[in-house]
Amino acid sequence: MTKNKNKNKNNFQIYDFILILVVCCALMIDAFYIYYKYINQDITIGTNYISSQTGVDIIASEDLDEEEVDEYEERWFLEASYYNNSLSNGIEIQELNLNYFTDYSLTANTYRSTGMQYVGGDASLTDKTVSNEDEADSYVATGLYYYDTTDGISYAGRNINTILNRDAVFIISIDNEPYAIQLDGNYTTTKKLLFITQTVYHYYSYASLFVDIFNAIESNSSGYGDYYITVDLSEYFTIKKYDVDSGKFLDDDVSDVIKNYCVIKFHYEANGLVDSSQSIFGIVACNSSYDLEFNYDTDYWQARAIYTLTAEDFIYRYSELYNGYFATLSTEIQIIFNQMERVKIIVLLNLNNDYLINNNINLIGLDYYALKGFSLDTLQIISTNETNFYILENSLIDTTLKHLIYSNTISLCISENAIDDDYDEVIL
Amino acid sequence: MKLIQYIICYLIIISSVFCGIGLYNELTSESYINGSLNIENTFITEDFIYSNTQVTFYHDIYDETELYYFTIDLLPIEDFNGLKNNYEIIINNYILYHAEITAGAISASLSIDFYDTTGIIECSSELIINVSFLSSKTILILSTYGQQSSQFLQQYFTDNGINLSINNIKEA
Repeated sequence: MTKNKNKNKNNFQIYDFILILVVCCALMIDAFYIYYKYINQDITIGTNYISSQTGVDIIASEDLDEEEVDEYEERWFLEASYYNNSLSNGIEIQELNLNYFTDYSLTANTYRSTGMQYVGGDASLTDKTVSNEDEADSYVATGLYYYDTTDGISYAGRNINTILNRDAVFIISIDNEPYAIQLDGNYTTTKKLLFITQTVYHYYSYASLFVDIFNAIESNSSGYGDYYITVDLSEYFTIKKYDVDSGKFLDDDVSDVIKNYCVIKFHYEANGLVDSSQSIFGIVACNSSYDLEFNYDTDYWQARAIYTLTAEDFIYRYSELYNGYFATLSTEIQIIFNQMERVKIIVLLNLNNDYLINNNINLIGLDYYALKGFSLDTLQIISTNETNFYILENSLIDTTLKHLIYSNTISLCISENAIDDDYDEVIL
Repeated sequence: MKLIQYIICYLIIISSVFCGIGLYNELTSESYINGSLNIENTFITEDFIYSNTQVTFYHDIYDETELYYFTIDLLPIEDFNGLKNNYEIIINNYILYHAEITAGAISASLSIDFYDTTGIIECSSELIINVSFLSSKTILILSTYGQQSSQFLQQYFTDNGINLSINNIKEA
């Protein structure tokens, strides 16, 4: 008995020891977790992503993280752009684009967009609804320009394939499954004639959808900007889920989907539109080269940024022999420019510069290796006083200097091996 | 060991399983770079970034000058302090090192020459960049003088996009 008791005791001791070890490990894991979760936090400092662009219903695209943008990008069926020209610097334009598929396969080659455009001043949108159902189904709103595309890039106007009326059924993708969506909503009003109450039906057209969407954009609480807005389209559209296997629409009521799933992506700004490139369709009033102003030919071969370096960008060494200061371009500036491509650098040394005067720097020349290996286009030295300016050995070696410009009051003293490029000399 | 001690030990072990899963997720989650350390031992954080695929310059019809401008309101940046911190401004890889930085604003300019196929300058443009950090918003204004200049710059941004960033440089 005593032996067994001892054995059990030993077993317990081993068991306890192992348990304590495990608990120690567990505590370490807990500690690590608490550290990573609550102490070691990544902080994003005021990053402002315009392209990664919300109350409950309206979301500025800036406020969304990448995942949310992807989600909303999946969900938008309607895309709108509105230049309301309140600054009177262009024309007022409203554009609404519908993105959909022409087939239940949802393949890229069945993708299509059809858009409507209202050009302010050119047309008016007064006819919102139609009272007769048959007439309403085939009604196409006037006063709008229509465009469509099969590749999502190049739009064409006038004779487009898709007719935007109530007969049109579009296929959209929700969670990668096909749904059919159709504008077939209506509302009723009553009319009293003596003792008779008559119910009048009003059938929504795409014009009424268009007008209502832009009224919503204009009255949005966030103002100008790029936003996603979840809208209840159930008043306008019905939506049916398509069963690919049976090839039939499912009878399930999916109206909730249209109430809170569809997203309108819109751009709203106070400026007016000035050229066709600002349009979603790249076309204004069926004119792809629409422009309010004279157009320069802006084709160019190459663009180069011009930088002008001045006395403040140099460091100085005093020479007792010459009784003055020699300048050398600071290493910091050299590092900055060495990492930039396609730049044209001009060095402008004004010997009467306030910086030199305030710091009692009597600049008399460029030091040894002052600009060696630094790509330079022009060196300009200016002074109103009669003075010598020394360019010491190797100061302008490997600079590809093209122009040397200096005042006629300056006598240039260029040492041998100071410059190894052919350059133009201009005396001012 | 007493029963209560065993219970505590088991609770710690169970909690560590959950913490372990959480820790695994934390450590294996993908992240992004919020800054970079350069050879000068300075740590750079992006305080402001504006990117777009095009810029349209407008001319106010009541303005008698040749000023063409683009303006946009962006989200407010709370941490900007031009008096306390050092900033570098970069537009499309061009560092605007002569920028004028005040307490809550930045103004800088960039000159760009556009060359034709024979190497002759077709247009010399100066792009003026102003960023104001207000409590409710950040206002970005890009401007230039002259219609030709505005159209060349517009073309440049259509070709290259615009990527403007203001970075806080801190000593590491």
